[in-house]
Amino acid sequence: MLEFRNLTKKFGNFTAVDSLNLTINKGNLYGFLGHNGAGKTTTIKMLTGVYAINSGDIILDGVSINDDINFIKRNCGYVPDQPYLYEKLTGREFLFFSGGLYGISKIKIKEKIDEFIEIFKIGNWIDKRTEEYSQGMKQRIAITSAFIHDPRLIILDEPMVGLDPQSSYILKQFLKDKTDAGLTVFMSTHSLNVVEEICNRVGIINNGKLIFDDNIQNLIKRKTELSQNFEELFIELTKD
Amino acid sequence: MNQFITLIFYKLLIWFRPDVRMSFKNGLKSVLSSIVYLAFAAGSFIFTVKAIGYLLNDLRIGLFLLHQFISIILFVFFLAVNAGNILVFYSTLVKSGDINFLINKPLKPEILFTVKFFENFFYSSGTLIMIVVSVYSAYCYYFEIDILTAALLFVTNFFPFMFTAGIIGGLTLIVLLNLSIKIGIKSTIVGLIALYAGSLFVYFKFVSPAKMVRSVIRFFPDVDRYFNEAIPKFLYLLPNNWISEALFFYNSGNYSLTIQYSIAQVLLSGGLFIILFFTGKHFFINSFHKSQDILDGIVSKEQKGKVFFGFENGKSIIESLKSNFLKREFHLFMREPTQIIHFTVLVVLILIFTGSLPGVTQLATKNVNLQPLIFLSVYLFGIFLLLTLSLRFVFPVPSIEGNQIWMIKSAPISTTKTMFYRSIPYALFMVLIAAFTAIFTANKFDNSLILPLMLCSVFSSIFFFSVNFGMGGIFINFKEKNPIRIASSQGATLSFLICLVYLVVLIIFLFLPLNNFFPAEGIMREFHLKQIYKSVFMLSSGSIIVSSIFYVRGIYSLEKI
Repeated sequence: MLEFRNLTKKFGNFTAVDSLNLTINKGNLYGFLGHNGAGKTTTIKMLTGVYAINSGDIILDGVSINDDINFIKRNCGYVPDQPYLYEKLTGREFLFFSGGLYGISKIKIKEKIDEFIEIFKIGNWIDKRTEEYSQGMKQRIAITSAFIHDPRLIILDEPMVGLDPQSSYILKQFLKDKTDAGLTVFMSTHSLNVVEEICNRVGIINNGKLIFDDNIQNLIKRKTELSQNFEELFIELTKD
Repeated sequence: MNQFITLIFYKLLIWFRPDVRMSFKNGLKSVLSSIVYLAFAAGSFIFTVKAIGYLLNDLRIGLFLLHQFISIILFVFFLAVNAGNILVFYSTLVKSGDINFLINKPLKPEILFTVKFFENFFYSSGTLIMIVVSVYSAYCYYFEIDILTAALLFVTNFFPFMFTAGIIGGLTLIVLLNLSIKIGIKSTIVGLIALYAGSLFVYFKFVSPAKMVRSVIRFFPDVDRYFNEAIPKFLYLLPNNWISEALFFYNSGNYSLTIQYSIAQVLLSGGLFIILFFTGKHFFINSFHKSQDILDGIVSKEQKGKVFFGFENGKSIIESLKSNFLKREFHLFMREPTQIIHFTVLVVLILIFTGSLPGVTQLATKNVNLQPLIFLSVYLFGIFLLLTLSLRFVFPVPSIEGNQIWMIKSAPISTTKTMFYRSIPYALFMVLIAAFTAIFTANKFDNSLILPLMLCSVFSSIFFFSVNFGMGGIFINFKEKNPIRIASSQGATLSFLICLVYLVVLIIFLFLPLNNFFPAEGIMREFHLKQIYKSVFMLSSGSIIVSSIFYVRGIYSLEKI
């Protein structure tokens, strides 16, 4: 359902993403790995409309980003690596604001908030200003806001950064449940353990090029064959 | 429409919600802030009423010249609002966390662009709007314009005028973003500065206050009539002139012309707003993408070899702690484009100011009665530039320490000392600029004024520096990384108003002795020069006391973090 076709992004003479071809099916939890500066965030920024594409295409459910970028925006939920919350708003107000931008009715937003209060245990904080939140709490609110409009695709950029073990566990369980229910997740991360634990497909990007794209079982098989741990395999694959 | 309402509603909610949670300390801060705002509004009201009265009754310049001077002031004001909007709009439209949040939402580009424009306009022009309201109220009071008419004239003239300045700023930014891809950032910045300097130069080339005064004063005492021949034709195309004409004709009883100018003003801003809306629709996303490419694509040059004033450089004449902070301050400043651009603009303004002094003094030599007023206006303009410099560059100093404050706090050094070292270059620079502008100004009028006025400028610069540094410490905001936004915050506005109050005090102290000095001759001239010294001494003593209070208070705030 999500497809990158020859996706390329250049900054002057520097090619940040080089002819990326990738297909992610419905219900996949896709782990997008790569070292710092490999092109993960650039890819995500193209997918979310922050960057223009130099060449190639991104297609979601048959609709090209070049034809209707708002189709992708309407159907995606995005959690950046540094979520931005309006400090003077409470968590609840922020979620109403966020939902309003997608044209969701207030009743629907309220239902969603009630649902996520339970899931992410944010009841004690939701009516406080976000300026009082810890990093983990900010992340929980940002994730809730990404889900508020029932997107088909969720894009997560380093979602585990700053999360305490409890929050991290809740999020992992939640993502598993959602992908089992048919949601597609595209997640960039540095955490190899997280990928091994919850992703069913993995891609590794290095110097803007996709150097590995397979299901998690094959990656684990390869790891076992080479008698390496995940970290060693990753270093081996991304060696220049 | 729903998206527009949602955005506006929450933006207003954020706007009106106080910055911090209520506490006695914050409550007190708010009360004191309100007192400063009110004192400033009252001060500028009284000052404007007195100034108009002085110009019309004592100097008898007539209604026409008064409104032409208003037109000139409005032109400079237009450029200030315009430039302010470009700079702040750049930071809110291109670099802010807010735009990065909103850009990936399914919003129509024209809605996003328009809402961001409104937000930026009220944010960057808030203080200026307040000043205009206060001065305009005084104008209406002097000419006994009733409240309803005054409000109507404001809504149909001043507001669209400022709105036009803001819209042109927004449109210029879009052009600049596209241009910088084609010709490079440096060339674009140079072009922008040249454009502003050129506009000022061309305007004052054609609109010579000296020529205008000469052509009107010939007809004395019939100076209240409309001198069509004194106005360069191109001025009729400028909205600043439309306001002065609308007010002039209102006071002359020609209401139909006032209405015509008001309609023109509203139509211009309305037309430009439509252009802005469609620019947002067709060009905003593309321009935004280009700006991201520029920002994220900048690859800094590798620093190889010996760097000027580098950290690794050998012996330093000052001890390492001091030199380290000076070096850090220098390199962070030089590598931040917004700092350099704004700094260059202000330095160019100062050069234009000193360059245009001969023309202004030419006017002063013709009329001895105008000399004190012209001298004081020119001198105050120089002081005002100092104020702007300190507000823009000194106020953000404590805040831009940002998250790096832990480095100072965890090191075995005192915060007071650190901040002192950091502030030295700014203070020195301010003092130098102050001395430079004072010498140039006084030299063009009377050499004996150089020393007292230079002292006055230097102490004024220390006052501005201390107030802005102190207020920057009191209203410290480590979360905001952009120095332009820090310098446009509520605390900065307050700081600006305190400095403006100082300007009024300065006028009170200097006006009378200068007024006596210029027409006097021989021994009486020397006597009045001593009076000027006396005023400067009293003013400087007072400013040193107030400066110390603000500086110490600012340092105390930093110590308590």
